[in-house]
Amino acid sequence: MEELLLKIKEQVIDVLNLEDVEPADIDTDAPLFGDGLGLDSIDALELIVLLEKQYGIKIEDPKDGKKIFQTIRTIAEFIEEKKK
Amino acid sequence: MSKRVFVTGIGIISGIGNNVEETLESIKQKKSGVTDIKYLETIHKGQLPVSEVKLSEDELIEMAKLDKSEPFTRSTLIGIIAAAEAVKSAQINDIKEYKTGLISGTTVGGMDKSELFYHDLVNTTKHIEYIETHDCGDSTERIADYVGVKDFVSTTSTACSSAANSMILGTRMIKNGLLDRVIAGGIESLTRYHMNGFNTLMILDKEPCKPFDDNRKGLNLGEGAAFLVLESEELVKKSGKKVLAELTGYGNSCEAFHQTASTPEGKGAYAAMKEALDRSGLKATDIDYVNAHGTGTDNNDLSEGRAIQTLFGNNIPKVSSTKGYTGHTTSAAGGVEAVLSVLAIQNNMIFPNLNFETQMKELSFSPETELLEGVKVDHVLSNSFGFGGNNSALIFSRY
Amino acid sequence: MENVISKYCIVKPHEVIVDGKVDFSDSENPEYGAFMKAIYKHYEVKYPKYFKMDNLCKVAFLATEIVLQGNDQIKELDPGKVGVILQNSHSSIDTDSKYNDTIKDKANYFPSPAVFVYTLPNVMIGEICIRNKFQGENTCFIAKEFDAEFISDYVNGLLDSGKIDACVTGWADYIDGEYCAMLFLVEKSKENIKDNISFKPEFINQLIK
Repeated sequence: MEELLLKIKEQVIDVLNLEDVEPADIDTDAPLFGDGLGLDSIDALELIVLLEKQYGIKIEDPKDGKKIFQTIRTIAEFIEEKKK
Repeated sequence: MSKRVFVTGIGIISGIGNNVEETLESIKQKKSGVTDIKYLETIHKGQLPVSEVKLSEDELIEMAKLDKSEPFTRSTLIGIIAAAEAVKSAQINDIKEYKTGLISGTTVGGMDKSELFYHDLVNTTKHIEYIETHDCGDSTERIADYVGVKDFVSTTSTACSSAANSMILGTRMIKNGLLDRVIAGGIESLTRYHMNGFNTLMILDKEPCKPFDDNRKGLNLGEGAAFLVLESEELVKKSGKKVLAELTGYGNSCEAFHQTASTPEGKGAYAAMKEALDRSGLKATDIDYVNAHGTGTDNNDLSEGRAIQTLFGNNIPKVSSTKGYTGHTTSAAGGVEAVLSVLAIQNNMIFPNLNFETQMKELSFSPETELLEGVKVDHVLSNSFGFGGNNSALIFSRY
Repeated sequence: MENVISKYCIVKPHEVIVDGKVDFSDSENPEYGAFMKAIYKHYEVKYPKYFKMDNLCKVAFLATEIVLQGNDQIKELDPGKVGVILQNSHSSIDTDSKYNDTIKDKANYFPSPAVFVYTLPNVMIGEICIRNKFQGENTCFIAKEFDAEFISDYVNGLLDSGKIDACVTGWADYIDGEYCAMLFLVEKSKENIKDNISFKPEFINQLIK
């Protein structure tokens, strides 16, 4: 799990162009949207693309993203769940 | 200086008709232009419904009696057809008689041909003649050439409010005495490029769109071109020609909120409508019909609906979105809906919002779902909102 | 009352010119992205969203930041009365083709939403407005080259009619590593300031020569 969490943080930093942010700066359980990293609806769509491109998971309804992308941990749990 | 600006001609081509007459007939028959993709070459054929102009490019060339050897993009072709119809409808025989401008809104420009010939052009000189048709201004120049406009030619590019902004610019130029008349509107043909783009944003409905419905899933793209001929008060008095409507109000606002999204409470939409209303000198209760932007996306219909509620309070006029007919014709939408607004006034008609079923939880009103005939339509408010938070509103009034 | 240029900024390869003087230059970072980042750091712009912008927005945004730096008065104005009127020739073609790259290969088809939102020239206006909360009139005109006569007519018209009180205006263009931004802050002339330059084509053309 730890390995996956780190990998997701690196990928999120990369696809969302989070300049000067290190994986260690992102709290695994802090909200990604709203105040946290200041992400918006376009970032949410970019995360949907990330899941498809890197993990082969397709999300059809963008509204599903709200639950999945709450925190880095919820993303990891979702990926683990899908792997099973 | 002309205090008033009049609409003396209209021209339109879209998925519901190749001219004004066919368009009105389709509206009356509740015949939508939204169908399976036929003309656009894309992997989304059979999956995403769109409203295409129901003619091939060869047929369009024939219709406009153009030289087949010249490079014309699909956008330019439909633009020529709509602009020529507008000029004819305004009974203009000699375009050079008065200082005339042509202002066209487009954002995709000549992308339909660029994406088709891109791979040829990278390696060969095949289709090289289409290189110059790519930029947005090329279509405007060719339309201006076709109708003979030389005095002022300009292109506005503000996404889905482009055509509305063309009309605003034209109106202001007439009011300030820079031009006597302007052919203003917008054009956009479907391209893989913007269809994929909208699909990427996950805002395309796989079924016919349902504006202002609680279960709306997104928009259907459409293509089309529409122009109005706007003339100064002086010119209209001189010629004594028939006036179709008066452009009494216009407003433009910037939301400064997000690249694509509107504020959920619709601040920008409200500001544009309020500005148009104030400029027209009308009261909110004077508006008989709002032809809404109503794309069918989650975000637009919520923010626009709330803005309408803020502006009109408890006296909300009839509201409908005609996107269920024409699809969202993006840069041409303001032109298409301006023509429809003028038709509403001329025919005392309010158009139905197709596909509506379920009341939105957040709104107190629901859109008009029936074709209303013989009703009072003296003032129509028409909205066009674009990516980047560029919002425009126009008011057309009976003359 | 005439309208005056209270500050202007030109960003072109390797240098930033502010009010006619080279204000910053960096020949060590000849590549576009690196040079823009050097400008971002030099002018201490703190706005993480900058890094998400496309090439066209970056140069337009930074030139605006520089023009507005140290100007507290602009924050006092009614946001609805600050306009942004720009012109360019290549629209958003640079990002358009980048977006096309994400959809052209069927085997590697991952269209990027974050790239697509920049495939419109008016999004550079949007970025400037979002940053500064400007809500006045905004339009992007497409023209072959910067047309000082057209832009000054348009902007002076807006200011004279009272529709806006100030305007960020000018030119911003980017294609294939070639770029240029020439942005002016234009305001109504104030009595106590004498040496501001009138926003008229003959003066504008002299400044950008």
